[in-house]
Amino acid sequence: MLKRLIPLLLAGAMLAACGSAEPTKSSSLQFFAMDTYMTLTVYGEGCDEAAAAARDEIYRLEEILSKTEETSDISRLNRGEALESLSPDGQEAVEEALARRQETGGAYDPTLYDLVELWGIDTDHARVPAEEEIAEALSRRERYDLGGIGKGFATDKVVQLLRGLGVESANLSLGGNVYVMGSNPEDGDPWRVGLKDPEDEQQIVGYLDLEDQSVVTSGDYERYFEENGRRYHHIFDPQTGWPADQGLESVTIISADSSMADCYSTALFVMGLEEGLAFCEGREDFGAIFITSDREVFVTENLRDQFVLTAEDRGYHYG
Amino acid sequence: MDKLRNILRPADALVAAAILLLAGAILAGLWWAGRGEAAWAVVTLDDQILTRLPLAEDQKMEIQVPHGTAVIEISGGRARVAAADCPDQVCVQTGWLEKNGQVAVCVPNRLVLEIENGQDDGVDILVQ
Repeated sequence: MLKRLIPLLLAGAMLAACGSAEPTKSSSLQFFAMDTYMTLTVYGEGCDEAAAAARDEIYRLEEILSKTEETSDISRLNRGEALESLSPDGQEAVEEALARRQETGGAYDPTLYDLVELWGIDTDHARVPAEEEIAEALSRRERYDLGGIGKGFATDKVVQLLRGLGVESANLSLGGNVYVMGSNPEDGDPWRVGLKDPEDEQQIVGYLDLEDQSVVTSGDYERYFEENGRRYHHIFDPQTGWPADQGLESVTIISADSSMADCYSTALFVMGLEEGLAFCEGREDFGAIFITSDREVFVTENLRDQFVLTAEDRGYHYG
Repeated sequence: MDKLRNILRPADALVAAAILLLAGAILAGLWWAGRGEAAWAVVTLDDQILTRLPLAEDQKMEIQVPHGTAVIEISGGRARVAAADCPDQVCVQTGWLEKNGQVAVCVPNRLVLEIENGQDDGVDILVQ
């Protein structure tokens, strides 16, 4: 009996040593798409193929949703072609964007193409336009710019694709638009998602432990230009045509629905704290975290147990 | 004692000891490898790693990018894109990086600056 046992124990010792050396199989892809940088990390069997499929899906959607590619669905729409002539995904994206505009009372608006072009955000000719120019751009609300929903929309499609391929764990960042799928296979814990400190991008202001949720932040620190010592960010108020100035530094939305999270983060930033919080009332399908310019942090009730504020030593406090 | 000698001959005992030692060495090696690795700033251009700069060494490095040049700066254990020829300057505006997961990205130049083995905020992923 002992004769057989000893070799078995030794084999066990070796396996234990080797087993602890092996992390869960994963595949990480980083690439440029949709005018930003994407990082996809997929775990488990078949992760290489799944990650590659996810990347291809993003490229496919980029071709549909781009406002600059001449052949994209959106460009064709902007040249006057009918919505019905677009691909199914193109139609779906536009229809959802219009529905969100309705829901948010216009705070999220997918037809700000002319306004965004006028301000020249992300170009080397960004400038503060004259009032008449802004008024004119606002009156021409026919051309679509799906920048405020595109990444979220792509995220949802990618998640659907990955699930269909049997993926159980993944974490994705589509230009900062995050989705965490399943739990961290290394320890079985939920994924820990950090939120940037709006005033010090090197630090986090807090985190949430999440599974199967998307997290999207709109902030005044992300994209901006400076003119005469003043900073102009990229989240425009569709009513005024100016960068939204409602006393918020950032709005973060947590939801299983990434395109909704994407639209709402923009919309609620434009709405401001009071109107934004009112919009969240009674909604269980998403939660929100507002950070004001006075470093006050407001969290919807459905997230209070999950959000951990870590930046109290830097003056952030619950409002 | 005789019975034991029957089961475990000297040669067997040697092999057994060697296996246990090897198992122990593997575990010790893994533990050791995980400790105290140096932090790096990784510069990627068009999906190829251009260079890895140690965060421990202050320096400024000028690199050629499609739209002209860009300057990578390491100072005080942090890295940043100090300057870049690009229309939107988002990469420069991102500022200093020192933690894992932090990136400065220049889309027009397909340039990425990120931290490897840096400090940790204890998070798995950062919303940007």
